[in-house]
Amino acid sequence: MEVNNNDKEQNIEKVFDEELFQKEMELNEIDNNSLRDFLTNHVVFTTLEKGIDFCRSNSLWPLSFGPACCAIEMMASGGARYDISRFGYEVFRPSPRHADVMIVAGTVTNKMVPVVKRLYDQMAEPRYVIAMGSCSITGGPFADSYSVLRGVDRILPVDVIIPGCPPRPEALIEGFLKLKAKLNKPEIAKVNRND
Amino acid sequence: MALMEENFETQEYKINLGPAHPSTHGVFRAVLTLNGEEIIKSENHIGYLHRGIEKLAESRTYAQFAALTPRIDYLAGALNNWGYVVTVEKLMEIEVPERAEYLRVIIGELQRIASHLILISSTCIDLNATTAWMYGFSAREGILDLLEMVTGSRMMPAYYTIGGVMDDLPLEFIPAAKKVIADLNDRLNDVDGMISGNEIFLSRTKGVGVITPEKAIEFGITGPNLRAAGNAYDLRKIAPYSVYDKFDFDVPVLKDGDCFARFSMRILEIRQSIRIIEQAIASLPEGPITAKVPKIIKPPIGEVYNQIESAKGILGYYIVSDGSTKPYRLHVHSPSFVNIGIFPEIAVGMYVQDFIATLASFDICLGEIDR
Amino acid sequence: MIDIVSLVEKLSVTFKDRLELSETGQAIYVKRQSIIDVLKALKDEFNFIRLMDVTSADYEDRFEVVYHLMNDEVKLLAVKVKLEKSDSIIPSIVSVWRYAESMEREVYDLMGVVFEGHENLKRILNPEDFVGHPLQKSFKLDVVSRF
Repeated sequence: MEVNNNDKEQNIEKVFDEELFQKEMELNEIDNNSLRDFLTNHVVFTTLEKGIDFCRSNSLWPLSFGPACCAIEMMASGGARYDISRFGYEVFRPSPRHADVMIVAGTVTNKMVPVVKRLYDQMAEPRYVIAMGSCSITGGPFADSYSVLRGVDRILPVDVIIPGCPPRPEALIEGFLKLKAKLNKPEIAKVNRND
Repeated sequence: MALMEENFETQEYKINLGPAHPSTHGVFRAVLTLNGEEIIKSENHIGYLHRGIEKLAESRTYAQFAALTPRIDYLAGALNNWGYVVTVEKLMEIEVPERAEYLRVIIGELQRIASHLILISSTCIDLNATTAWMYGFSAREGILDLLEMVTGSRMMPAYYTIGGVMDDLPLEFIPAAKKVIADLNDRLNDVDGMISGNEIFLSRTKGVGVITPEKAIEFGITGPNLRAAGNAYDLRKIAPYSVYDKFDFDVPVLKDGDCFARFSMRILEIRQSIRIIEQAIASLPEGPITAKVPKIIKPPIGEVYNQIESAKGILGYYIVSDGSTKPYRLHVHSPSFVNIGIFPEIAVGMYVQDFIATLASFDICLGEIDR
Repeated sequence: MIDIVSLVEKLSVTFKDRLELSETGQAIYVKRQSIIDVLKALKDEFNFIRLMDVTSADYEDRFEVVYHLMNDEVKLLAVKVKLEKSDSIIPSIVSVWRYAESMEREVYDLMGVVFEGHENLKRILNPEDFVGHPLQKSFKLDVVSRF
């Protein structure tokens, strides 16, 4: 028995080797660090709403609605040179029930107001409106006419305005990117009042 | 079979085609009465883009209104601008120097090419040939670069002033123009080869929407639609204005009068416009670019009516002046307003998809119909 | 330019006192009852085969309806009819040129001239319930304060 005890003590001593123990602790720490790195780089913790908003902002489907001249620049931005397909926005849907964002590109006249309102009502929420060109912002060069609505924000809630007559396709892309920023972080669009 | 048809109740129904239309011709509305898919009656309803331009003209000076004219027909803005300026010059009896006339022709023909390219692209995308739309639009970008180089704006060039043009050509214009024209020939051959021999395109456009020359004259159609129906009526040849009598170009005429003829007519006209531009660049004279015009434009009391050949037909301006700085009455006679009068007539008996193909090939622009 | 004076002389043989040359010598004034006959004569006998435009103007004491015609040598002619403001009715020329129909509707919509014999005289550019005729000088535009 004494021999066994002595052997066991020696065995235990042999097992507990200081160097090996240190090395194993180091390796464990590397594993912990890499696990932490792995988790930081590949896993995101967020709310369900923010996640869906992120996906939505990268794939907005515009409604193809262009009464007047700005519509031609909208079409040119969907062409091959100013490609809005790089951002995910090239799927122009003719039906408002499939669309996310309505780009009002052109002058809205008094005869057209019930049509625009009906199209907006038929879109499913969440829905956004971009007012493109100076005619849809304030009436543009035709503001003092008897038949022109002075700005589409009299009948619809507008999210982004793009000034110009007509705005270049790059300006339309910038407008889309501002809408994307507003979708992800709605606080940037709050009005700061200097009180 | 006959028994089944007797007991089978059918009903005509009315649907709206527009005004929010998926193809890009603007806010045009047609109320169709259908029996199945066949059209029995069609009515045009326009006015959804009526901005009151003729009333606005009475509160703008002559030079200020020139900036509104490209917005009337926004696909061929420079040609509308040209028509207005030529009318005021006829009223004031101003003679434009020769270099300015050549520059006007170059920019006008470039704008005509851009407008016809839009028709080619739009017709193809209405019949679902999306690649041809991409090719047409990217060919148009080269032309818009040239226009921007000279006038400063891609789409609304207010380049024509009363008495001449606003600015001379920059130095890099002529080499860039030669490159763009060579490129354009290649791209036109691409689009032509892709579409004109395509079976599906031919079966959707050949024999569809046929207009005989007599019917075209009865309904007052002008422009490439009339020339595709067999009548060689082009104001640049039969009553040349500006310096068009110095250039050597043909007026293409096709006999069929269907949608395919109207489509091919635009491709042929682009080739003729390229010829005119090449000749104009080669023989550009030196000289001033504007005539001596008073600072404040006050035409004498009187009235005038003048016409030019625009991209869609014969465009006319009627100005009545009472001696002040603003027009007393201004009226724009646009070609598309008269051209759409034929739709109720030829739509009877057609299928809905043929009506779409006909509407696409007619090249209407709602900005100039509604003004 | 066409020789208006000789044209008026030849027309006066048939339509004695119902037409006259304007003061400037640029246009022909026709009395409104005989406008259809004069235009038909111009179209059939004198080769003015195309109607280019139907428009109107509002002067202080009268309305004027202006027809622009073009002959086969591509020369223009203006034919005008004077109307009293209180009695602005004129026969429609749809039987002579079919495509005058939409142009006459526009003149009715914007200026208020009524065309007799026109089957479909409704507003074409303004909405159906619009009140007033915009191109008359008595219709004033709102002033927009831009700042």
